[in-house]
Amino acid sequence: MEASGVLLRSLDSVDPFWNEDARPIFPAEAMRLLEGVPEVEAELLAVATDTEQPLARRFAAVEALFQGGWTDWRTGPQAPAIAGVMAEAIRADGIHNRWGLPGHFVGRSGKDLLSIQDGVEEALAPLLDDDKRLMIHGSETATVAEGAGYRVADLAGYLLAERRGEAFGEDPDPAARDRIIARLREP
Amino acid sequence: MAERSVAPKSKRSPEEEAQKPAPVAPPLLGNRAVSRAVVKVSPPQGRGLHPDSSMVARVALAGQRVLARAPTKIESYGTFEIDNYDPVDTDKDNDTTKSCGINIDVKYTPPPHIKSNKIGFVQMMKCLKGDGTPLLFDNEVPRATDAASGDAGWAIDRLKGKKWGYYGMEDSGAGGGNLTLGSRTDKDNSVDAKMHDKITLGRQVGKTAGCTAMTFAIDIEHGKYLGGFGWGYSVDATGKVTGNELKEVEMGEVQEAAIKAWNAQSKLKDAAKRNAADQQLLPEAKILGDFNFDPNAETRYA
Repeated sequence: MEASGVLLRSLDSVDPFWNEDARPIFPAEAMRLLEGVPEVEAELLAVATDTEQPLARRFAAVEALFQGGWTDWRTGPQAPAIAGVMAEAIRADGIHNRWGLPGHFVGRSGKDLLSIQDGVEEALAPLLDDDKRLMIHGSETATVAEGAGYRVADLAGYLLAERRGEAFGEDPDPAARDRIIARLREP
Repeated sequence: MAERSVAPKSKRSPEEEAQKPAPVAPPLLGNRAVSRAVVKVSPPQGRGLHPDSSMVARVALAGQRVLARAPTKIESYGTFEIDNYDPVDTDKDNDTTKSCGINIDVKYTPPPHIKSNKIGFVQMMKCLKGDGTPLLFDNEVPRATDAASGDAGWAIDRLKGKKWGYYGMEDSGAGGGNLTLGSRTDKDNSVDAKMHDKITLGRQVGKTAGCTAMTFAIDIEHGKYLGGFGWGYSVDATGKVTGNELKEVEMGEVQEAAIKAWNAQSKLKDAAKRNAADQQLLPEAKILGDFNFDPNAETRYA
């Protein structure tokens, strides 16, 4: 099978928007296959930045880049485009634990996003207007999230605050969080 | 105290299991005494939108009334009252990839002969993915029981980043949004401890899923575990969510191991693998029994 075929089959072998335990999404076998692809970082970057590809495949490529440790691009010119893919993935995600719980902790993918040098704030800014509720799984974690009614806007605001070294707090009142989000809209 | 829990093998066929009605808490009052109430309307999504009294009235007038169930009482070392024990199912009864779980509200009245200025809860659970392996989040992996404990995959339930092992407790040691601390000063004066939980986890199309949970009241002041009960839910292969039977339980070797594993996590050199950098120890418990049973079993008996 051609290398590009192996790559796409590996990327399409998982549902990147249903990350049940918030841990890396590719099984070891898929990662071994990806490791055998020549110039795998460039190949994955090509998929991740190709706007003709479906978002699920582009985001799966981003997940593979981080899971494989192929992350030299984070300081390069493609970084803003990847940050944009991740921001869109937050909107599309079925389970949000991997990004973190606003005010409480930054998750695996949230840390990945914040590790990108350029384009993160620009990617997160549009999400500050997204009132879609987060789907946070767990027991106490899910209960806290539901009680506070955390939204995509809260997650984006929390990640922005972390990026800037500012406090976001744990206020369960959405109106109070909206005041913080309003402050974060200012660059 | 009840006898140790065991997991009886079901003698029903899978079809019979699927048709079995969801368990209903036995009424503690006669039908006449069961009052009718309007279900509280969940706040709609969006900023600044909250149901007002007129909205509640409209819902009531629309005939959306339900029977208010009496809480289920579990006499243990103290008394648990379980209310709002309702399945969570984002695509009710359909065989789809969805979020499932169970809601629970717990009130615990400490026994009259103890004295404590701080009573809370320690909760542990084992949850399963569709492939039958334990579902553990990254902060739970370092504190989950292993096979050597008798049953791999049990973990203390605590929000990532919190230092105490007591469910719902703020880092200050106070209660929080999902915990009201209890106390007892003498046989006539006590404050009930209360907690709220709503397990919500993934379930994939065509797959089973579920959780077995045990909640123990604890005298935090003196580090002594009080009574406990078992609960949880299961999702069958058709997508139906069923609450586990509520039963008194005693702490077993596996649960003891889960507490020890929490304490071991608190001592990990790599602080990033702790639940919080200053994670605190839980009191270790005396082993009273063993509850090494199949978390997929629909019912368990004490």
